[in-house]
Amino acid sequence: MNGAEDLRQAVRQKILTGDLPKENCHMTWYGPGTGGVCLACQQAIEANEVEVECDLPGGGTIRLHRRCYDIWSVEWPTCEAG
Amino acid sequence: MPLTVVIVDDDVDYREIVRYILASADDMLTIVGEAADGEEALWIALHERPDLVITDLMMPRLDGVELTRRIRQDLPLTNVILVSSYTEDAYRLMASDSGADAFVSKQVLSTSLLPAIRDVIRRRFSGGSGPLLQRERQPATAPPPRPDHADSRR
Repeated sequence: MNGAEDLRQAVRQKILTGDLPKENCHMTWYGPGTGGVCLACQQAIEANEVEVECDLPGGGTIRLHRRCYDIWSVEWPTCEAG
Repeated sequence: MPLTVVIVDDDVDYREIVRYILASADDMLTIVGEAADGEEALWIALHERPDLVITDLMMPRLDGVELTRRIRQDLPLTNVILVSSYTEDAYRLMASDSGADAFVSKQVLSTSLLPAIRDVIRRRFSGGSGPLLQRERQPATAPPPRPDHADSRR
């Protein structure tokens, strides 16, 4: 993934296709990465990075890099239903 | 108008760290109280009706999870961020069930507390009609008797 704009576009595309949700988190967790894959950029979240886990109101949890979470949380309210 | 914040931790060093982190956002946040346990924090919260409580998880008298439940019950417009070194799944589940808005590992506190606060504020305002603050929307209720050790600072 090259550049913030590419990442933003990729996140928007996942929102529009339903691969990323369009709702606020019930609770967010901020901690060091554990090697899991970020749902937004599909890259591993390394131990020297911060991961955000978002507990969804209806159940389920999504895991993202903090930078990807920040983009998703700004973008999803602006995305039309896809 | 800055959001009002209460800081809760039985470790005075961590309270100082949180104060230091919040100082870089003093245009957005005002600390209205500090407490060293959940019981003291609840008294201060009921008295000050802050917009945000940042609390440790493991504390004497009343832990962070129970404090969060009580705040959810008595001050539904106050947001709560739990912080802890204890980050196992069981604690995270308890934090989520308690109604906390965010849970931040102390391992990433210096880099993630302010982003977590900004996110909680964004979520708070995104569903409403604008920035409505706890003290503007909810009339004051009589707080319980003040614990002898309570320390509310302005």
